Amino acid sequence: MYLAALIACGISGILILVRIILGKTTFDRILAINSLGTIIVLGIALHGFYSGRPEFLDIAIVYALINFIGTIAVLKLFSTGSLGDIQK
Amino acid sequence: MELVKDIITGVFFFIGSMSIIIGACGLIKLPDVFSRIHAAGMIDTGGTAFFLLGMIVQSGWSLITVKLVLIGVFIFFTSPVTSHVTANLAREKKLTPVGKKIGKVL
Amino acid sequence: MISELLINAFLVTVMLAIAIALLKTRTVIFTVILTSAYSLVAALMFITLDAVDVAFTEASVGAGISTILFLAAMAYLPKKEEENFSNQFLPALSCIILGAILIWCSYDLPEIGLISSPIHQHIVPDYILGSRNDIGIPNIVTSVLASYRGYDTFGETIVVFTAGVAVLVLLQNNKKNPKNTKSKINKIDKKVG
Repeated sequence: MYLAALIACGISGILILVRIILGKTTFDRILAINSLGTIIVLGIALHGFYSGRPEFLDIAIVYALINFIGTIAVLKLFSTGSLGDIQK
Repeated sequence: MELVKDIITGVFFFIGSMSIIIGACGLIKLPDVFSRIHAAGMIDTGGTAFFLLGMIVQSGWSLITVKLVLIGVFIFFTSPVTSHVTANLAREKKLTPVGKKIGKVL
Repeated sequence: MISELLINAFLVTVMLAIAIALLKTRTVIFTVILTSAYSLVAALMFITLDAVDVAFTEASVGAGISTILFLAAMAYLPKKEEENFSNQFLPALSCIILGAILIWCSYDLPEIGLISSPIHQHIVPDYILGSRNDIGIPNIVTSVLASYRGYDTFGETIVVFTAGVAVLVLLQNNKKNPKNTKSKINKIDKKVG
């Protein structure tokens, strides 16, 4: 059961990777990276249950936060041209 | 009792797997950014919710359930923010949706 | 056992695909995004190898902090890059020779998890046996880092702190004549994709 769900995660991960590599604009790629992060969070949780030790879920929580921060950083770089206060 | 739990988890995992595979196919198939946001939202809501529900049914009342609920809460709050910012920026950069134009376009 | 092999083979294939896509790219921001994806998959690989602490570090540093640092450095770069079309035969040859030597050397390594390999013989049994009784921390990696090798960790922290202070001093010196950085910043959001 867990293995079937992991295989589904793998298939959709490959499909999303195709979109990352093909993607025309940068927004497509950012969107696909965000989805790949979600898939990997689910994959970590499922792998923890599959191997019988669900204590790995802490890493999944860290991932869910880091993924959000990375995406917002890329988008902020696009909107304002910098991440800090270097233009005044 | 274990059998019932396993059946419920299997049904949830089936729906979640369908959601993420359909969402990933949509990310490839749909023509522009604004419609691909829809497919990505399907992965973030349908897939995550059903996978986490299936795992919560398996784990019962424990610390693991709390962590799973935390993951769900984080993703449910961060995914709409990301989609909104992406769509907003794409509109600012003068990307327009593909298709027939009915009425005013944004 | 066969499923572990399947998962590992799948992850290695995905990492190889990302690496080939990295070779083909010509824009800087796409390179940063692909590096972030590579770190995500690499951390999943560390989890399947049971190295949870390394996976934690890779998730927070590799996928999060280094991506943001690259992006912050990108704000100083000009958008248009010069293309370098010089002869790349010699660098490719040296890379191939170095990779071949490394693969050849890897045949002498002991197997993963082999108990009679030298790294598991010297002092590790003392750590494993004494961690719970001497220090009282159930996680062995934490007790090694914070107690058995506490002075090493202390020195590393001092080195990282010194590097941060040095970077701050350098940037503060640059801020007094902002002529160099100002003109290139606004060009970066002109073009998308």
